[in-house]
Amino acid sequence: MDFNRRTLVAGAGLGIAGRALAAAKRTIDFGLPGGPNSRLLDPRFPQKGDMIVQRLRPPLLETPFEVFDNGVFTPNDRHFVRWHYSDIPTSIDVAGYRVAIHGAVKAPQSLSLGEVLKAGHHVEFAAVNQCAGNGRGLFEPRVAGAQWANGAMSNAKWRGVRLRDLLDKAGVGADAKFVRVKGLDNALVDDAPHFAKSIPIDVARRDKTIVAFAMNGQAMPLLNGFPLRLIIPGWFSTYWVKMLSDIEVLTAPDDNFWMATAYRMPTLAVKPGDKGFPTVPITTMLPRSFITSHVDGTTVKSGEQLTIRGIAMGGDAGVAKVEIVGRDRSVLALLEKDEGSFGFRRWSATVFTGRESIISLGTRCTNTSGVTQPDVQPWNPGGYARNVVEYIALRVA
Amino acid sequence: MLPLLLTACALSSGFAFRSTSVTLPQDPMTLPQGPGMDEVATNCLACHSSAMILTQPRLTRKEWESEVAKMAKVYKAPIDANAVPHIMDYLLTTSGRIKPLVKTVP
Repeated sequence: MDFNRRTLVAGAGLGIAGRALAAAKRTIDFGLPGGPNSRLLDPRFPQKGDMIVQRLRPPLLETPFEVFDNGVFTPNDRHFVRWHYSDIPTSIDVAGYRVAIHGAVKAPQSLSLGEVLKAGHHVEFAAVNQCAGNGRGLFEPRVAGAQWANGAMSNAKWRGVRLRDLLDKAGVGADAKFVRVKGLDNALVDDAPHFAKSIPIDVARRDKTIVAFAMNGQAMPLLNGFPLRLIIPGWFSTYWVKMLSDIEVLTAPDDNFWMATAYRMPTLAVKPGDKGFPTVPITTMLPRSFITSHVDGTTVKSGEQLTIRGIAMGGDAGVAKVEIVGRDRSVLALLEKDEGSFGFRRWSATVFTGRESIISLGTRCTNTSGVTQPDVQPWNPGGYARNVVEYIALRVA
Repeated sequence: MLPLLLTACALSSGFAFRSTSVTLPQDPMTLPQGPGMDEVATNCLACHSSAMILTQPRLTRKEWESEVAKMAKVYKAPIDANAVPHIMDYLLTTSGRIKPLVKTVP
């Protein structure tokens, strides 16, 4: 039901501060099971257009779902935003910006932006940036955390230099096991754990693990990580560290809070209240697909051929097929141009609306590794990695 | 509205970085009226805006207790222990049950 969003004009009942802002803000009905469902659509964030505000400070901004119908690449000003801590630098001086490379290396580095750009060949590819908690608000039973619908994802063409080329400037020791990355954001409280993520050295050295400086051909908006962001296509956004400033080579697994405690998935089926089950860090994404041409509850004509379209992603592989799932059968969608296996893939299909008063349509993607979206969403306490077949209902008149 | 200061410029390989300054929207620090509102305003809103609380579903007492404990233990929020029962009152009676921005904190 996450597509059922009525735009209402806010204003009545607000205090003085609220009234002054009402001109710029609209309230939308978000459609999460059990609510609360009031969210602001706010255009006031720097370098961003209308975004759904899940939290103003530090910003959690969701991409309005209709944006995904406009094309496979999400415009930079509509790309979702997620920060953990409130101390986010609002000024970046490019002349003074440095990226440290240290830890188990032969020659620690402090690289300027110019040196980063010259460290190796520039590579560019499409990749979906998706929060591990995308769709958390749709989990049942509900779980605490950012209450995203399905718009904590965006696709862009990322251009950058390979992390491998930066590491090789420092010379990685033979005992290197992991690479830990940090950005310039900080907690307001000194002792809180600095946000940091680690990846195995073989993932760090992949051809497509890059330090990006451009997003869809432009410098990225500050809230999306200007000036540099780590990109690991196929992996969840939590590793795509923004305002990248620190690269540390480790010789043992990282025991920091953001790896050892947060962002972890159970390795077996769990239910609410379970404790003590084994977990692993969440890493790779799963196939997903969505109808974008029609929102839930749209009225269509009976007895007609109806063309629907949408997007799919393979997760950590390409899209092999998308099926439109009806009540008793499914049909294959036509896959449109492949803009890069880690990006969104547009699809379209024609269905017959028949004589029923309501039809339910779902979409099921299978990726090129053979992984298919499930019919039932496995529950986990973090509300991570939702990828169940998503349905909309259409009224037939 | 969005001051973008474009000053220094690092040019290389056809790509130019420009120094950038932005202003984030001011947090109006709004909270709906309810028992424990003052304690929530004092102990919670320094690190995050009220929406983090108000957008949560109807969590159980146990779930909210674990969230408050996480803020103190993991994120080192200096929460006054005497305020915790009042914070719990607010979370259980007000959050998840009303629409945000109904009333504003004076």
